Amino acid sequence: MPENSELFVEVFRSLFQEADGINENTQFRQLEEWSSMQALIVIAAIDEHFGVTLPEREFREAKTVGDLYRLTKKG
Amino acid sequence: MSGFDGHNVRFAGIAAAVPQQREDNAELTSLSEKSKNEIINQVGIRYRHVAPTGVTAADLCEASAKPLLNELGWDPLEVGILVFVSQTPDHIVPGTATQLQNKIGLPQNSICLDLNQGCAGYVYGMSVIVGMMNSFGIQKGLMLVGDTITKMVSENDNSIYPIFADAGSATAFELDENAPRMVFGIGSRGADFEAIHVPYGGFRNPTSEESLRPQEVSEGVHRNLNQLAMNGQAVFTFGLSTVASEIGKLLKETQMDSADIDYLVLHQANQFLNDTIARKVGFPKQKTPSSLHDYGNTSCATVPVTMVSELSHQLRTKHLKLMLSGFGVGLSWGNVILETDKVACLPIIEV
Repeated sequence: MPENSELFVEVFRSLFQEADGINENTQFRQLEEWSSMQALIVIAAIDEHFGVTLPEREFREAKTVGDLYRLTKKG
Repeated sequence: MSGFDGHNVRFAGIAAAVPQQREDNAELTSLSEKSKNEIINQVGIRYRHVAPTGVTAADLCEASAKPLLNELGWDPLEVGILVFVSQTPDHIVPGTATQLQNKIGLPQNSICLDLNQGCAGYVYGMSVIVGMMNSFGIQKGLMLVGDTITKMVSENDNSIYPIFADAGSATAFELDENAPRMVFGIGSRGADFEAIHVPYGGFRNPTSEESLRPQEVSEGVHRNLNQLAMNGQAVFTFGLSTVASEIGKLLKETQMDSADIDYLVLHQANQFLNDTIARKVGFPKQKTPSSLHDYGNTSCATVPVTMVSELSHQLRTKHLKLMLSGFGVGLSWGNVILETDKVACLPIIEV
């Protein structure tokens, strides 16, 4: 589990080429680089870094980077 | 159920066949450059062999079985059991195994059985044939595993059309009291059956005028209700959590780790997923062969296609300890640890 949201956002940003401006409030599905493949990359990175596999249904409902962070705390 | 052993049955040989006709994902005009790049470089699929009208999974399996029996020097009349694993049978009724019995020339008193399984089907089928051969003392058995999934995929469904391909295979087993045990870990999570399914065309939801009408599901995804639908993200999550932990569990139960296994052959659906699972269970890349680039996702046939296309030399010349892992539709998984010793293995056959 990530200790804090800063660490989580840092990992999230590392997965994007255009990471400037990505923060907790970013609506990640609106990002230029977002795609179904990018979704898998994010799920795998969260699993690898924080040991949490986000359930598909909850992932689908998440809108912001902060929503994803809160999901990892729930798990 | 998890962690049960198969005894007294030797893995004797393997062959696989694909249709000659091949499609190149780089030439798909319906995909954006970005999607094309993702599919070829991250999902890992460039080419797909596609069966033309009139060529079925049974045909591809038959084309694998006959040369394999020949290579082994087995008379088809010696084969006492035939298990056909597929989701694309020749007919709704009857099962396909009996027709394969006739075409390959097995005796009438052989057991012929159809098994409706997909991505985990190679291992599921193996557990059935090995269990029955050992229980009933059947000397020789043939497992035929194949699918022509492209026939149930919409050409206008960009989410899965570039992924699926067709293939068939044949694997021979022989009763042998000196055979090393096979250790199986098998299971299913039926609650998630809708993650990969064809909603209409069975008897729960019969085909209707409405079910055959193409619908726009999302941008670039057009299909009707009699065609295959897949929630890729749900399957990915299943692979990452359940499958990886089940592989770890089987290794632990057998007191082995990746150093004891020569190759981990994973179901071929997505290279990025397989790399992630392999890393999670501690297997280096050179121990997890991939056939995705050339053959795509051939459903239940990916494991035998990968063994034949990537490990043929090793299978023929060495003693190997293998872990095979199939997972997907069901949602089901099937893992097995087995040993092979200089087995018959033919090059990929093109039909």
